[in-house]
Order: sequence, then C-alpha cells, then structure tokens
Amino acid sequence: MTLTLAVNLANIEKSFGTRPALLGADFSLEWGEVHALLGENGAGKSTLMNVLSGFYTADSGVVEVDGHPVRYENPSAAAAAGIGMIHQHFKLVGPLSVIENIRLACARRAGWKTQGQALAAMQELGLQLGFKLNPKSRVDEMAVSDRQKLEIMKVLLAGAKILIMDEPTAVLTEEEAKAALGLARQLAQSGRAVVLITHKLRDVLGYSDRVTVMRAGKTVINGASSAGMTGESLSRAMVGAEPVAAVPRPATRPRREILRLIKINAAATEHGVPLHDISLDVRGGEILGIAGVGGNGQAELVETLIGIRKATSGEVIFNESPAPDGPEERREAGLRFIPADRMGMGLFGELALNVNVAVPRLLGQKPEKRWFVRKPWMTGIAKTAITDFEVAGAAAETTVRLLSGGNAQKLMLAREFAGHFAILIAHSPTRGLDIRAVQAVQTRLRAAAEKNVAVLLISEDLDEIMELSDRVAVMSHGRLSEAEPIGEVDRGKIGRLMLEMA
Amino acid sequence: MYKPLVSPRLAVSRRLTALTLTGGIVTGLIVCTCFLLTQGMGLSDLASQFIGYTFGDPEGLDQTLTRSIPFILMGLSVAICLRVKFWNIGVQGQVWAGAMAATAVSLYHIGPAALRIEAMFLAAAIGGGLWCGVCGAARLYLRANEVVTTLLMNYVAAFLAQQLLYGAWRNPTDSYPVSQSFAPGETLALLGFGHLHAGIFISLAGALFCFWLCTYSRVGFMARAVAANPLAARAVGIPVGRVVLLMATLGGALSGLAGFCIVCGEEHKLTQFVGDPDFIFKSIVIAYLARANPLGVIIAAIAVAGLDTAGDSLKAFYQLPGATVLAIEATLLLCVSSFEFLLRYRLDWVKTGKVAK
Repeated sequence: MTLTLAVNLANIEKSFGTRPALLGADFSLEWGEVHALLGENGAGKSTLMNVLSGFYTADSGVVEVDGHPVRYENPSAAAAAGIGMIHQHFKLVGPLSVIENIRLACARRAGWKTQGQALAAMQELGLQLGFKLNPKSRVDEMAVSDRQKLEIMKVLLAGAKILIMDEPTAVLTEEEAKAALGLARQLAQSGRAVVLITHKLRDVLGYSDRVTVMRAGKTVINGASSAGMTGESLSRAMVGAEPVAAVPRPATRPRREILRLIKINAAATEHGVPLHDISLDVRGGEILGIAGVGGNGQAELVETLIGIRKATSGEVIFNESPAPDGPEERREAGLRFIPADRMGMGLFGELALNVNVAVPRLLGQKPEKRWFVRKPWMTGIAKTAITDFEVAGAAAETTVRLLSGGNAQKLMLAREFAGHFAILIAHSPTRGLDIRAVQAVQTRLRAAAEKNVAVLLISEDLDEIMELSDRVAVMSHGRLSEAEPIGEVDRGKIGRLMLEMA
Repeated sequence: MYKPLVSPRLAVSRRLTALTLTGGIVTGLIVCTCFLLTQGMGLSDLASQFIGYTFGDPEGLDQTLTRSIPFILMGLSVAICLRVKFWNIGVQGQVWAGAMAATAVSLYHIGPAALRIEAMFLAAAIGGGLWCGVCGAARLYLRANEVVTTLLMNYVAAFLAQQLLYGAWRNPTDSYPVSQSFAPGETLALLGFGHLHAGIFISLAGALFCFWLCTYSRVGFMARAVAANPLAARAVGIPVGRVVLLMATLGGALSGLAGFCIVCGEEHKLTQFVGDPDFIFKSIVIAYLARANPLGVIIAAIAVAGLDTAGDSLKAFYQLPGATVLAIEATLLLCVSSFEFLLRYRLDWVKTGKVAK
C-alpha cells in the first residue's frame, strides 16, 4: 500500500484556438481504484485525459504522476511512464493479426526479440485475465468486444499501471459491457489505477469506487465516493439543472399503412449478415422499434430501405404501391434517413453548414432553379435549421466537422426533417449523445410520429426502444421477429426472442 | 529550450489560405532566383527577362498571351476534375484527341462549309471529352484507378496521332508528317496583336463557365458533396457516379478545346508537336497554383505561360537548357504544396520541460 496518489491533476487549462476546452479542471486518482469520470459530451472528460496521456499538453496547471510533477510531450513519453489509454476508437492495425498488433505496440518496451517471447507474454496475461484470443486472428475480422480485449492487453503488455478507458461500454452489448466493467474492477484489485470515462450512470453506480463529474470544462464533483451517489444526484451535477422529464408517450392512433416490406432478402455488407425474408409494416403515426445487437442485419436493412442496396428478392412498398428504385427517387417519395454514423453516412464534415442543409434539397428542385443556387437562400435555410433545432455554437458558414456530436446530430435532424416527408428511418439516433441531446432527438422522433410520419427506429439501446416504440420487433442473424405492441412485450421476452432466432 | 509543436488546425480562414499561397509562391521565387543567379545571370537580367520581356515587351507579351490560351483550358480541365477528386493526368492525350477530331472534320469536310469551324470546335470538345470520359466510366464500372488510365491514354492518343501523320493524313504535296493546312475559314481569327487569336475568348468563356459551374450550379454543389463524402452523397440520393462522369467528361472536353485552339489558332494544321508531354505537368501546376479555382486558373496559366516565354529567351541569350523552365515550375509547385502543410497544421514554439521517467 502506498499513500501517494497515482495521478493528481490540478487547475488544468487547455484551449484549442479560441475555444476553451478546460477551464481549471481537477482530478485525482488513487492506486487500486476504479474512478469514474462522468460528464456530458463536450464537458472536457476526454480532453483532460488526453492531457494526462500526453496527446495534448496543458496550457497551465499541475500534472503529477505517482507524486512527481511531470509534463509529457507526447503519448509515448506518457506510455513509458506507465499511462495507457484505451481509446473509444481503437488504435489497432486492421489487416494485421492479434500477435502482430501486440508486437508492433509493445516489442520495444517489453524487450521481446522473438515472436515466441511475445506469444508467451500474451498467453500468460490472457490466462490472468481470462481472455481467449487467437494470436493469429486478423484484427479486422474480430468482433468489437475482442478488439477491445486486444487493446487492453496491448496497453497492459506495454507496462501500463494507470489505465484510462474512454467510453469502454459504448460499443458493447449488455453482457459484454458487464464483462468489460468487471475487468476494470479486476485490474484495479491487482493494484493498478483505472479511469473510466463514461456518460452512463449505470457504469458509475455499479462499478466505480469514486466519481468525478465534469461540466463545461470544470470539475463539479471531485472524487466523491460512488456509494453515496444516486442516479439523480449525478445527472443533476452533469446537466447542471433538474434533468428533463421523460418524453411523454401519447395514446397511439395508428393510421394508414405507409411502409411495408414483404419477404426481403439481401446480400451482406462487409462485416454484416445477409437478410432473410424480412417482412414488416409501419403505419403513419407510429414508431416501430427494431431491437437487437448491432451487426445482425441492421445495416443491410437500412441500406435496402434507403435504396442503396438491391434486395435480391422481396418487395418494398410505399403507400401501397411498389417503392421506386434508387435513393434519389425514394427520398423524393418522402423517405428520410438518420444514419448510425452521422459523419460517415450523413453529413459532409468538410463542407459548411449551409451547404450541408442545402444539398439534399437541390435534388427535388424545379429545373429552372438548378442553374443558380442562391447564397441568401442557403443562409436562410441554414439559419432556420439552427434556430428550429437549437444547434448550439454554429453559424451558417461553420464547417460541420467542428460541431460537437450532439449538435451535429441536431443538424442531421434539421436537414432530414425539412419539408414534407412520410417515412423516417432512424438508425441508433442517440448513440454517443449526452442526456440533453438524447432528449432533444427523442422528442423530435415522437413529434414526427405525431405528424403522421411512419417512423422506423433501429436501436441497440433497449431503454430507448421501450420508451419510444409503439410496437417492437427483434432483429437477429438477419431475421426479424413479428412486431408486437409495446404493452405485450418486456425485456425478458425480447432477450428470449434474440436467442430463439439464433 | 524551445521546440516546435505541430497540431492540426480546426478551422482555416480565407486570409490564411491566401497567405500560405503567397508564402509558397514567394519562397519558390526566391529559391528560383538563387538558382538562376548561380547560372551566371544578374538580378537586373532576371528582372528584364522575366518581367520586362515577358509582360512589358509587345513581342514577349504576345507570346505569353498566345501561349496562355491553351494553358487556361488545360488548367481548367485538371481543376474541374479535381473538384470531384478525379485526378486527370491525361491532358496531353485529351489535347491530341481534340486536335485530331478537329483535323478530321477539316480533312473530310464534315458538315456544311459555312459551319465548318463550329463543327471543328464541337468535334474537339467531344473528342477530348470522350478521351477522359472513358477513364471516368472505367473508374465507375470497372473500378480502374483514373491516375493510371488517364496517364496511359496519353500514349494511346500520341501514338494514334503519329500513326495518322505518317499514314493517312501525311501531307500529299510535300510528304512531311503534317496534315494538310486548314482552309482559311477553318482557323481562328487573329486579333491584330501579334499571334494572339480568337481562342482567348474561348479560354476566358471556359473559365467563366467553370466558375459558374463550381460556384452556383446545382451540379457544382453536388460535386462538392461527392468530393467531401461520397457515401453520404449517395445516401441522400446524389447520383455520385453520374456526377463524377460528367465532371470528368467536361474536364476532357476543355482539354480537347485546348487542342482545338492550338491547331486552329496557332498551327493551322495537325503537326507532331501539338500534344506536348509537358502539358501533363504544366496543367497540374496551373490547377494547383490556382487551388482549383477557375478564375485563379486564368492568372496561374498566364504566369506559367510567362515563364515559358522567358525560358525561350534564356535558351537563346544565356544558353540555359530548356529544362530550366520546367525546373522553375517544379520548384514553385513544391514550395506551394509544402506550404499547404501550414494550412492543415499549426506550428507553435513551446517551452520544453522535464520529461518524466
């Protein structure tokens, strides 16, 4: 036992250009504890930890590791001092194997000369942690949870004593998340210190010893014991006000059928599964929730619906007649789409906000308007989008890449909700957002249904599905269960459905 | 102790863009000046050659402007393709294709005689457009990388031209490997200033057209979306393939018109020197210096044409090799593209502290 703190960060300030990210943040970490670092998106959690792990240097403030003041100039200096960060987006080399990744990252530091030494070290650690990873598997063919295990092994084999896990549960299923959090506890019990960056209250209450809460670049709760915390007190500290009430669910008034799929079969995406006989129907004014773990056909279903993946058989019906073929025609027929990866498949990060909102609207324009796209028109619709959807910190000319996750998603909604539409496909619309942004997005989905839109909500977040949907179906291995009214299903039944269909 | 710290920039202002471009050009010019000074030229010689003769002397100015006519069109060709991240390394081949198409119209008397030059104009645009459009289609349907296909199409066009000039199109009167001269109605009118011909209007109109296309037209906005994020563009229903194909074809057509301006404005027949391999490189330099901005292309093309004019007199009066001009252009391009680094990243000098063990 030692009385020195593993990490002590005091009064850290950091700004990017003119944007302040940290305004005097404090954080302390003891050996042998799991310390949750909680905060909304943009509160400064990741920035603070990046200062510790050497990715950024602080503008001012004290950084002490194991009792000594330090200043890391780069991540490898921090790694050499025993600080390891497990990033939300893994830093792995996809086409290489597990053991190659490990050697690449740690050979120099661990002093291995041969593949055999690396293998032995990896197997020993694997036994300790209870991991079963095949050293020869190619990383880009592995499941997300296995990649995370590899990332953890990599950091430990490089000699990390202080582990920073950035949103480790964000990409995992319920069971995997529990295992990962359990592992964090195990590592802490072995004498290491673990920081858990998260914005999930469950992670904090169930698995951490102490908690630090950040809001707007400052520390608002500094290392309080997690045992004394409740979900309510934490979310109040995070948001800085009473949490917004849950979105009310109005009485359902299902109306005319707007979207129907009949026995759709389609080929798999690169890491997905093919679709088998998917049938569903969505009526105007209702939200059909599709639950299930990602990678079970959701991506293929979405692509088939928006028209960029051809169904090998089956029919897509809009408004009781066959849907037109391509994405342009489907959009014109009233389909709107919120992708799971908003920067990958939704927005144009390098372009200005006004171009982002304008581009989809250009498609349906009358021919005489195509010759001259007027800037005042673009600025006008951009300003409407910003005010109507409360996109904070943005102007018409702002480059979209610079928006925070929540604001980018609000912009995404603003763009897709423009004009008249009849069908909305929302794929994990609240993933990675903070509480208030989640509320805003969910309210919008409800509002769309209120306006007689047929909403298809595909989400891995069961809470979200249960809260918003009028009917629920479960997706597993490329098949879809019969949709059932929300009153007649519970979590247990959904879990059983996932297993039965396997 | 201070040491440099490099960090990515979040936003890039227009002023910074202008500053880095200027910085790159100025640095390039300084390096080139130093180089030429070592070659036995004095500063005053340099000034008189590069500025005095090239832009101040009527004869030099005439050469510069006449040269810039095809350069503007070729620069636009690369710039338009760059707007959809299509790398057009095939300007030489497209110039050949345009020139051969125009010549064919003249030799075989295609279309009514009164509209012959218009028919030649159209044929050149179609020829160049096809030459590049084929590569666009190959990328679209066969996933063939356009850097390779456009490059190789240069050779196809150049050898086809040789085949014709030594074969079917060889001048019947004197057996030289050049085509028969065009009829008077098949050439571009001189404007009364040396060799300057009406092609300058084609170039300037082309630049204005491209400016409108990129800045105001619906297609221009779609092109921006396609370049920024093809997947998202496809998901909102933009016909990504068609946009790329259209821009590639337009780009090729512009190079084809450059070929038209050379044969109808300067040579008045098809010769062996119409499709210069240096065009490939020069068009990229021009598009790059202009940051793919169509109006900027006009200025960059005139500047590069000026360098060429100066290069000719360097050859004649200072016995410097013709490659000197290429070296200068390459140096400028290297400097400008190196300065681009400062657009993406910021450089700070930070105080170094103790690094923990």
